[in-house]
Amino acid sequence: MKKLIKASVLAALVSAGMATIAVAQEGTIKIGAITPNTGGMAVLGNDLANWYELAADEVNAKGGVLGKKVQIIRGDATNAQEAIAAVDKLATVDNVDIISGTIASFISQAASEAAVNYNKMYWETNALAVDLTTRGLPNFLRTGPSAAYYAMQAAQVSKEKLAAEIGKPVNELKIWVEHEDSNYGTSIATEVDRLMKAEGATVQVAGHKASAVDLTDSILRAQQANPDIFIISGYVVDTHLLLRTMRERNFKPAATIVIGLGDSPDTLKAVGAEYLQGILVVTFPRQAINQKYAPGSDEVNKAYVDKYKVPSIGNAGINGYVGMQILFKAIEATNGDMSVEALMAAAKAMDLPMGSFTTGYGVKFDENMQNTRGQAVTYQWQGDSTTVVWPQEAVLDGVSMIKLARP
Amino acid sequence: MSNLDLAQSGHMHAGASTKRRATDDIWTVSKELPIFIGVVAAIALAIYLLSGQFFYLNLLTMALLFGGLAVSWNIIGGFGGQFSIAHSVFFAIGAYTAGNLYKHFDISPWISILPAMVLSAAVAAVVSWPVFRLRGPFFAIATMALTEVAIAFAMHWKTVTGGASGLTIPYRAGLENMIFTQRWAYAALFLGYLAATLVVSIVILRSRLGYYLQAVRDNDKAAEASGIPIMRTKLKGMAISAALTGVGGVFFMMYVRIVEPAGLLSLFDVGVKIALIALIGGIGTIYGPLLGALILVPLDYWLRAFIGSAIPGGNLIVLGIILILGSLYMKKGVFGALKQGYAAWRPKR
Amino acid sequence: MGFHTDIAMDQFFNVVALGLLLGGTYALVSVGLNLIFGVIRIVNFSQGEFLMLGMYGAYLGYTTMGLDPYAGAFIVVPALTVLGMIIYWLVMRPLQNEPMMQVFASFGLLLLIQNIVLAITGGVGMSMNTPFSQITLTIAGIQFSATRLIILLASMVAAGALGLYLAKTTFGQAIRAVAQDRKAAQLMGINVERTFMWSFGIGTGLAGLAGVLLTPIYTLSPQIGGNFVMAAFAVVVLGGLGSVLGAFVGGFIVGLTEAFAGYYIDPELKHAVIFIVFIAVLLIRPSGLFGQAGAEEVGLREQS
Repeated sequence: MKKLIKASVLAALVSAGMATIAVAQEGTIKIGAITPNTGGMAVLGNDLANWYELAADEVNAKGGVLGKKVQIIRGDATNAQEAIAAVDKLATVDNVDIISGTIASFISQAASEAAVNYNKMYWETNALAVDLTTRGLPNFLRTGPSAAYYAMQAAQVSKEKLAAEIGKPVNELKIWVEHEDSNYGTSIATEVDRLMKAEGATVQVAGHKASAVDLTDSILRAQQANPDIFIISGYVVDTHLLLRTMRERNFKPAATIVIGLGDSPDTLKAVGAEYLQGILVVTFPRQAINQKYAPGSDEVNKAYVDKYKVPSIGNAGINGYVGMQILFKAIEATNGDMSVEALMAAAKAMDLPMGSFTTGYGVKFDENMQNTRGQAVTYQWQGDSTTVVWPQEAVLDGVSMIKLARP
Repeated sequence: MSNLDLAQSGHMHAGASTKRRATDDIWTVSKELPIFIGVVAAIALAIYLLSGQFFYLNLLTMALLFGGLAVSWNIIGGFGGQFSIAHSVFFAIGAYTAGNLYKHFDISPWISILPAMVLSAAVAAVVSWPVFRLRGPFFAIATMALTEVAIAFAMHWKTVTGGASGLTIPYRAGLENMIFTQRWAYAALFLGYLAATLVVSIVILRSRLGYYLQAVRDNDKAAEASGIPIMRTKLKGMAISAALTGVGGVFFMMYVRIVEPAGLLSLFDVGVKIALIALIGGIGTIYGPLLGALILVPLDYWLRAFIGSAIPGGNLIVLGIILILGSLYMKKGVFGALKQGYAAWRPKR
Repeated sequence: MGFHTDIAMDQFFNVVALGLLLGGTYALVSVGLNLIFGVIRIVNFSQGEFLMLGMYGAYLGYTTMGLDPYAGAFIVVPALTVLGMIIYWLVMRPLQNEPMMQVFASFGLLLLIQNIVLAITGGVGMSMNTPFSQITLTIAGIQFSATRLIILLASMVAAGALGLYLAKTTFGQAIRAVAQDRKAAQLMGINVERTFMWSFGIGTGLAGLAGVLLTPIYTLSPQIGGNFVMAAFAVVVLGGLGSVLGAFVGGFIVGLTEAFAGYYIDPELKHAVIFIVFIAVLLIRPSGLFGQAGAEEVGLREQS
């Protein structure tokens, strides 16, 4: 009786599962997209998958890649074992050709290793951990940012612009990096720490829980230390809480850099225009950016709103869009051969200058298959919105960085 | 009336044949053996049939792992009635132990099983001893607090756990590393784990410890009055349960090869899930937790795969509804419901 | 290494003030849970979700009707009280004698409520800009945020009102009677089930009130309830089961502990410190500070 029950439960599951396999179309290029669509990162995961689909829509409207339509098939994973299950489903049930993703680094780690078993290419566009590309996995490359992009931009802006504004040489700068304690915030903070210490600056790294009910203690500690530059690397809820608390406490460091977010209309509501003036945000092309540097970024951000009715939330999503476009180019270069070897070879051979893509990127993979021709940009709150202030080639005509010194 | 008639009327409730002897109802380990072998064989067959279908094979593999974890939990949770939701801590101990010994000292995970068991049992004894005084919801909340503290430890103790970035171990296939290229080998491994936990469970249930545990569960004041050493019983049960859970953690580490604090210790993904599986399957029975795992785990993954991508959170909405309905209508667990159905179905004499 | 951060003593009063304000928040969040836990003996893990619903309810009122959240409370709190009563009647009441099933059902509710909100909103963070959220008062050189002060006041009012209600009104006394001894209360003619339903509703309504008042401070997300519920359990147990005063004082203990641990030890560890203190209290005085001694030893079986 027991065995019968067990067998029939299994059989029921199997047949139910088979009934809902994604409908396959003839001559389609199927790309699996693994993102966290539930849990704390749901917003970011959903956003990234949206950008993938946007890229697919655009290329399909132009006749597809090599005449074939591109189909994005989503997979949800919030931890390592779910990542394995998602890869299994995409590879065996949906029969995708390539797998992409991922937002969270540990999910990417598990998923890409699982993809090796199926000999599928793992085309990473968005997970940040630096060691994803130094693992030496044969089917893995990353088109978009590692934590280094964000950190490098913050470091560059500090070094080449802020130091002068503040009136100190770089090696006399005091920097406080406040980060949320999961892998995301920590990896960026660690990179900033490393880069700025290399310049001789004094760096203090402090963590907090993204789910903290109150962050006044973190701000009190930072205030005590009186840094020149205050850098925040967190998620939305804690970043807003930090900024609000800073406003409450009248904590006004000479320069504040928020990494990855903090430039949305919601931030304006949460913190208020007055306090936000002059605060810098390191992110990817949204609006108010020189179209020569980031060709088509205005258009594509608008296309996103047209399709999804809300502006893109995770600013890194546009990296996914560009990552997809790079993938399409790679497929064209291999003439439709989507095996790991062919795609890796095509990617290695790609050499496109900065400004080839909407984010201002080019393509040139280093020996670890990390795209080196890419960077974040720095926005600044001026008035009711943010505008790009660094690097210079991304800045719109007539825009300049406003005074940072705060009374 | 003759003795035979009395015996007849006495056995009528069980719906048994009139020719049964009194000793038939006494449950022994050897009686259990054929059922046990049957269950294991059936699962092995399922593994064989699914060996090419990796998605469903993975569902089965994870179901077997959680089945083993739930069976382990059941020793203290079901037999002993101590609803711990801190078992994720032992799971994590097992995983981190195996991971560290393998990564830093090249020690085979097969060998790591021993320190994992010892460490889990030791930690279990130390932390549960003060907490066992508490009853019902207090005990549950205390175990919840323990889990929170463990998460903080895991995040902070970066040299051992890798902190938030997690602990990863390199892929070096080989039996001695417990890393296999064949997916079915993992399923077989977890079946082995499940079988081991079932054996321990069966032996305990029949032993004096099992008897004591159930006595403590049903009425601990009375148990104490009859001379049962309550604290020692609970501690023994907890230690064994924790040790087995830790072993599950070792196997998990070698399957996923990357673990991080949230994935190991999160209440939903592990702590509550294990207890829930046992509950839904049927607490206090041998195979109940296994049944619960075979239902809940594939369901969870299947929902995530086919609904989770379409509607954000959709799979958890369905799971939440199932949980609520399950609590309302399946109080004795599926196993209990099946037993009731079975008893009702069998013709009465 | 980083530069030396002078954790000085002159911040002491700021930290104390912070702890008190935080304590007010925890007290307000916990007073509802205390009622549910203390009276009905349900470990209601979904309590945080009612808080979250209160926040989203206030936000909805703000965006659709332009209602300031403090005004929106008058709609949101009764709505959540009714919702709580319905949920109690449908889900919790049938599980009266199965305490662990109640726990699991409350987890099911948590998953359900949180993910419905996730599905509807997509998880997008939403903030509100109310006139109060920008105000900071400086008293004797120490800064107090106006919104947290309001919460502190509200917690005192809520705790006080609840205490009075339980002590002076007939229904309140019925609740206390049922909390002490179900069978005896039943024998006295009290409708135990209705009392439970009402208690649950008050509990969820109070959670909603906390949510509404917290809206000016936080950016909403479907998971935000979870940030509070763990600490709320610590508060309830610390303060002592069923004691309104206990939950109130417990809130301040947790708030002050968190503030001091966060500032003087490490913000990353303050959560753990709270739980270590919590476990210590559980071991030393399990009935909590104001609870009846031995209350924790009374399992649920005896109550049924």
